Amino acid sequence: MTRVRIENLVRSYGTVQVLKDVSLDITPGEFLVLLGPSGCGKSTLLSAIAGLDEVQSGRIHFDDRDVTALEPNEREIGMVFQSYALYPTMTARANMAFALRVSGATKAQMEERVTWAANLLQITHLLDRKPGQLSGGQRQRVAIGRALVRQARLFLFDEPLSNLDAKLRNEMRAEIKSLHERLGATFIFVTHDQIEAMTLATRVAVMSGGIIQQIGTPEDIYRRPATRFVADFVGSPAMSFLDATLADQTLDIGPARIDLSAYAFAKPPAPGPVTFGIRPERVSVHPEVTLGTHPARLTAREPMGADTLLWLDLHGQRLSARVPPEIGPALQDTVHIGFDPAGISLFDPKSGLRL
Amino acid sequence: MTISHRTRPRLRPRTVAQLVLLPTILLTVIGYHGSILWTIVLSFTPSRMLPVYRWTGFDMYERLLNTERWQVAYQNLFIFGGLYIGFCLLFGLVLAILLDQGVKGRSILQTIFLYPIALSFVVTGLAWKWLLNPTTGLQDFVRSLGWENFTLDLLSSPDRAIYTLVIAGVWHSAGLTMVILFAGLQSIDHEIWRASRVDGIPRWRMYLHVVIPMLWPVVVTCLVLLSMNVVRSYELIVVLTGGGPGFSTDVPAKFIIDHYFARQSVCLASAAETLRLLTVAAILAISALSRRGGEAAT
Ligand SMILES: Nc1ncnc2c1ncn2[C@@H]1O[C@H](COP(=O)(O)OP(=O)(O)O)[C@@H](O)[C@H]1O
Ligand SMILES: [Mg+2]
Repeated sequence: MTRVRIENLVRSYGTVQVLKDVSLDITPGEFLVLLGPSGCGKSTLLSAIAGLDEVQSGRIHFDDRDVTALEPNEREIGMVFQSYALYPTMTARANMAFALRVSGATKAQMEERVTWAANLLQITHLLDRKPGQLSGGQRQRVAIGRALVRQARLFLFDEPLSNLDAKLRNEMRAEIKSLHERLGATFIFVTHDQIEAMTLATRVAVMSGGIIQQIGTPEDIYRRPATRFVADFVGSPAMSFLDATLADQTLDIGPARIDLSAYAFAKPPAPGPVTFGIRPERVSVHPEVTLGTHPARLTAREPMGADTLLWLDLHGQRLSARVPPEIGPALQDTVHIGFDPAGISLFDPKSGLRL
Repeated sequence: MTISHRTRPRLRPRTVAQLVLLPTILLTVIGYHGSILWTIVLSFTPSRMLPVYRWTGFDMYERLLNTERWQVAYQNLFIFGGLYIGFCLLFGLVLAILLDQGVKGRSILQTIFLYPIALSFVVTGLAWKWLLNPTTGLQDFVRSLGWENFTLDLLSSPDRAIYTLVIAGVWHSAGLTMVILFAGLQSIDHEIWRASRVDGIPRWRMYLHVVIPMLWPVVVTCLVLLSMNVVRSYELIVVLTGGGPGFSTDVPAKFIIDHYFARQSVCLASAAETLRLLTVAAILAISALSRRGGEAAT
């Protein structure tokens, strides 16, 4: 269990800044997921934490120890790479024991650690095979096993599941989660997959363009996105955004007027143009006029199995609604929609910040 | 059903390819394999200047194996070959690892070490001959710097002349080995290196336990290329030592050519050629086996 404190980290390649003043405080035993689109600097941040890449400025502390200048092996970490990075000339057993062997552990110690990790990951029967004779999921387990044997207190994962097929990915996801619970160590996990982030994390840090946009519990990130980017990136199907005008306690989208008395503003609101965001599952669709609904035109239906996504046109602006599959077919072209006040997010159209 | 669609018989692409290749195949079979066969046949005859077809069995082989010059030549093949291949691989590997470690001026170094390959063995031999010539080369140069007693006469000593050949050969081919091995090193997944840093594995152990074993198929390729150079080592020896002093630096290739063309002993030369061929076949078989062994290991 390690507390990881990152202060004002900057990393650039030539003149391009890939990490722009990143600060992060990770509590001991946490499962932190770094989430963001490809190329946003997640791997770079993870490499900096591991000590694999030098940083231009900023400091990294593990507990009270400043590790900024330490080599990766001096940081007591275990790391799992996207390509697994197993040593192809060695058996799974030798792969897992190599670090121990080099550090001068006895045969009995190596045997004990490898057996422990192999039992935990259920790869005991694979120990005498070389990586070339293992499937993707099995290699993944060996790679995790290699990270486990050294009794690290911090584990780093760089998109470890992205090379697996969907079914295996779900399995390994559950397994990594239970591994975290059993070990109690701090996990930092990089992914571009929001489902992984939502299911695994105790906290998610959403990154974009070398900046941490928001850090919070998965629920926080989903329910109260701090920026329009986070709102857009997290959630599938995505949140709808509409141009609106803010008055005192109400909001106008064209002629439709929405009551905002239940909305928790981050700071006292100023009247003017805002971006109105609503998640598809927070839009209710009715065939008849009811209280607090607005007429809209139904433009398309997308059945998704468990539910149906409806595409709607509200006074010239597009939004989507997620409804039970029975509702979709019965609807006419003109429907009446309502917004759940708890599902509304408002953003400043210029800065993209939550209001 | 399909036949009814065909209005006229057409040549399948495969047949066309075979037809195009036919002249080459014929040339190879007749010119190359035919010559080999002819050589083997001649080695069982008493032919002198011109072929005579009279069976004499293994007489020529017996004579050959009892010829001291052949014994020296055949032995030299292994002394020269072993040292040449060994040092080429050693220097090539060390240089490739240095380059891989990101030594400054990588491209300049690469060019310097690669230059000798552009030269033929003839030019290499001439260059080293001048360099080692007592009156014009290194010895004279060092003496002119003040060390009046400096002597460097590698070429005139029967015991040492063969090592001179090794030096010149390694100088010529180590760069090639370096480039091939370097390409192999560069193709290794860089995440493996990162994993080794997290594991705290020293670089030399990575090279020893992981990287060089991974490179095994590339090493075998180098071995085959270098072996071919050894078997064909004719020009270098003719130019640099002429097989001398005495026969001390003779090799099978030179022995064979001398006996074919200078000494008009076609039968003996053919027997020698057949033995050389068998040696090459043996080397190829061993390398094929070890390549398979290397694949099984990875
Ligand atoms: N060696 C490098 N040289 C130059 N730019 C790099 C290098 N490595 C990564 N980058 C840049 O840094 C940015 C972040 O990369 P990375 O951290 O790998 O992104 P992610 O893991 O989030 O997909 C990318 O835009 C990439 O182009
Ligand atoms: Mg990445």
